[in-house]
Amino acid sequence: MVYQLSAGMLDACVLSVLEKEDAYGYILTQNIKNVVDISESSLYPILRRLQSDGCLITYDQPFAGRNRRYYRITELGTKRLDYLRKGWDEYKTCIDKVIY
Amino acid sequence: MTKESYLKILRANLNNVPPYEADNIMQYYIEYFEEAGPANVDKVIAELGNPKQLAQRVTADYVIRDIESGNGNRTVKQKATNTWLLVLGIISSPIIALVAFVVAIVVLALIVSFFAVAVAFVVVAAVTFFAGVFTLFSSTGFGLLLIGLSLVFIALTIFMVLAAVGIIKLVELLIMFFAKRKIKK
Repeated sequence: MVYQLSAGMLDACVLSVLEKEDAYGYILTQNIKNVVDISESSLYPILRRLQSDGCLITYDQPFAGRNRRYYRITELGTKRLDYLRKGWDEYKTCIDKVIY
Repeated sequence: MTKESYLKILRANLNNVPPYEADNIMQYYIEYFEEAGPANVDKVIAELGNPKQLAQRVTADYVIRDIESGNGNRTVKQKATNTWLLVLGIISSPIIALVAFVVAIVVLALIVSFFAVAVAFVVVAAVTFFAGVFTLFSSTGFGLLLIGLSLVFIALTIFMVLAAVGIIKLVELLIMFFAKRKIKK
């Protein structure tokens, strides 16, 4: 990808995936990797930060004799996502005006 | 590298975060390996990168979160440790390590010279002050001039110390800034 992803955009990606359905770390990463290149890093720091901000909660569900940790978006997380989407729209419009 | 040795190195390098946080981190990456399946171990390792560096990154991230949550007062030692952990989190290549090393040397030299100058000024201020007091009896004007001069040197000393402290604070802020950019990218 030519353009670098900033902090807020990754948050927006994670939250919008979780808005559709709860997900566990691996599947979440795969989903986001399809869209943006996040090699040499992992989602753990982002998930952990969103969690301590109260934007998502975790719960464990047994799977094949072990636990899967699922992430679920909270009301605060939905609000944050709305805010990030508005910001992205504004940003997109601004750049579009210049480059087209 | 096997999955077991990767996770072992990761765990061994998480000694600067509280145990509950280390458990959290380990659970995440153990699960990650398990979900990817035994066939994809090499792929996951390539994706996550060097386990020691991964540990340093997640540690730096923990430190940033901890600082931002503003958990009470920190001792100078804790602050220094935190700053060091952030530096480790930023350093991802030998070139950055070299740059960081050079910057550290320059900053250290600056601080040491500022303090050295401050000490010299204190000595000069003391000497001028006593010289002024003694001269006061023979020549009041010149004595007062010397005492005034000593006060100027005291002011300069305070300025040098403040400047040195300012540099330390500035470096701390810069490290925090770069760490945030790096970790939250």
